[in-house]
Amino acid sequence: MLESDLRNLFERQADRALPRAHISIPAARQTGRARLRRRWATTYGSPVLAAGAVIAVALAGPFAAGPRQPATGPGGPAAPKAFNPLVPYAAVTWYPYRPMRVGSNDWRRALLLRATTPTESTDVVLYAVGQCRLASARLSCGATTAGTTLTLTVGGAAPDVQGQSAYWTRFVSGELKVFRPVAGTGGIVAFQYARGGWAVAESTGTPADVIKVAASVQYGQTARVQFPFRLTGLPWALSDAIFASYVRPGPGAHVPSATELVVGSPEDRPGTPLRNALIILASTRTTRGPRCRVKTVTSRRVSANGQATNSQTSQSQPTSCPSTVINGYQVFPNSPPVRGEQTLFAPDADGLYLYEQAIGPDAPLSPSAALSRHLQLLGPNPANWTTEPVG
Amino acid sequence: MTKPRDAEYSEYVSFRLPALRRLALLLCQDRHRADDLVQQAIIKVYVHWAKASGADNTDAYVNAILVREFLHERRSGWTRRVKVTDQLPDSPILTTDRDGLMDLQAAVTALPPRQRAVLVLRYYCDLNVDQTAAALGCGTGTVKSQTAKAIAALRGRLDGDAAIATVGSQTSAPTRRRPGKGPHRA
Repeated sequence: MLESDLRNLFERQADRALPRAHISIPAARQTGRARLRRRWATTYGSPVLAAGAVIAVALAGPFAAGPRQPATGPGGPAAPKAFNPLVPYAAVTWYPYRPMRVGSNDWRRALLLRATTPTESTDVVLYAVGQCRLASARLSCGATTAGTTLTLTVGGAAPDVQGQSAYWTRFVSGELKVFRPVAGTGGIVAFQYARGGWAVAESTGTPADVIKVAASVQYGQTARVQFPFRLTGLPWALSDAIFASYVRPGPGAHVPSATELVVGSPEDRPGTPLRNALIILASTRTTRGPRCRVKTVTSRRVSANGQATNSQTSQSQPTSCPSTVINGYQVFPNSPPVRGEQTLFAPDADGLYLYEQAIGPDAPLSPSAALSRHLQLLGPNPANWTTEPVG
Repeated sequence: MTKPRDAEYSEYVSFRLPALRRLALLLCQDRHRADDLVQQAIIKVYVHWAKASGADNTDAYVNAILVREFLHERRSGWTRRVKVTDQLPDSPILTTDRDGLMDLQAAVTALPPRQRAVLVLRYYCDLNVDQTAAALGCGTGTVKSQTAKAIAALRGRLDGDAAIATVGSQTSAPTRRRPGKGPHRA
């Protein structure tokens, strides 16, 4: 019975009209040919190359004192091909404004570090390997429209950063608004933070501040970010940690004061829009409660001749927002509503501020369902936090 | 030498493309991923075209490449991070859908990839146990056990849904599919 149902299901699915194919036979031929060439080179080319190398070393040994090749990048660790959102990777140990928010973006191809006040900012963007191209005095970074593309013209040489060449640049175009020219900025400097990886730094301070910021970038932070919550048993469509960011309260502080995690579908890839996702934000700074809308009160005035007249006045008296209790926490759903998306807000969930937002037209999980069934809050003590927030 | 080979390959793949896409769709249950899978598979077919074109059954050879690529893809790359659970997404689409076939489709989607591949090969491609084992590159015993497990999992999930539905619960799909609700877990 079930077997016949299966046949029926598969036939129905197969009979459905297929949408336009995103398959290219010429591209498959081209890639296939490249693989065949590589295979040929591995099988037959290696012994020939090895023999050639031995001969070259033997001949060049006594006569190899030629001019030194210019360095192509810093030594030490290589830049990553992609940034795991759960790993910090880099820290800026000097910055004039605090706290600093660190987050991965652009589907793991860029890491943003930002310290800002309403009037001043310091920004560093680290790009993964292969995301930047330097050609014709132009540095172009980013390939998608995910908010981190940047094109800069390379000007004069800047003071060396960590022993490597650095360049003053000028903004040409791009989606990184923070790098658009603003009066009073100290300039934009481009440098290589690790082998194969470009970084760009700017600050509203002086040019010396910009160089200090760039020089203080420490790459190679491997200790994972600690989260004060854990998500378990998530539906597959939310099982991937897509973005994460955290707030480092000071240059020497390693425990974040706030962390944000976006989980989404593993099918979302570079170049595809984020379809459905869930944002979880937790902070050790609790609040007193949500700000509710000002209640409009209809007041009735009685005139001197005894006739009542209606008039509407807005009063800023506090009003109660609809709240509910989930897992013992008082939460305020959709307060305030965000573009019709479901949100949830807990001002003080056992010492943690919590905010959730479901993104997308077919959000697989509502914030309240996530809190009641999948989200475990670990309290304000960092000793209880986890480096594996999903799983 | 390359030109006739390329022409032969292109002709074959063009002809087989709709069938390969259907098979990939059944395996992936996602048309975007299905197209990616077919693209990867036809690259491999190009690399092994000499063997594929000389095989007794070229279609079976190419289908096997596709299925193995599907299983390999699930183990590697970015999908390595994904924990494929037996739970269904709490999609609102499912809350109002009470059609049996849709329930079955959802249950098939929730199966582990290898079990799904076995079912597709046996009940869509109509392969017997030996042929399925050859396509998957495993033993016949594995095929039998995977088939039995897949069928049992489907039965368990569908029976679980039916049992809860008969109670008259008007709860939404997320509640119906909470862990531990299905009798197969009891």
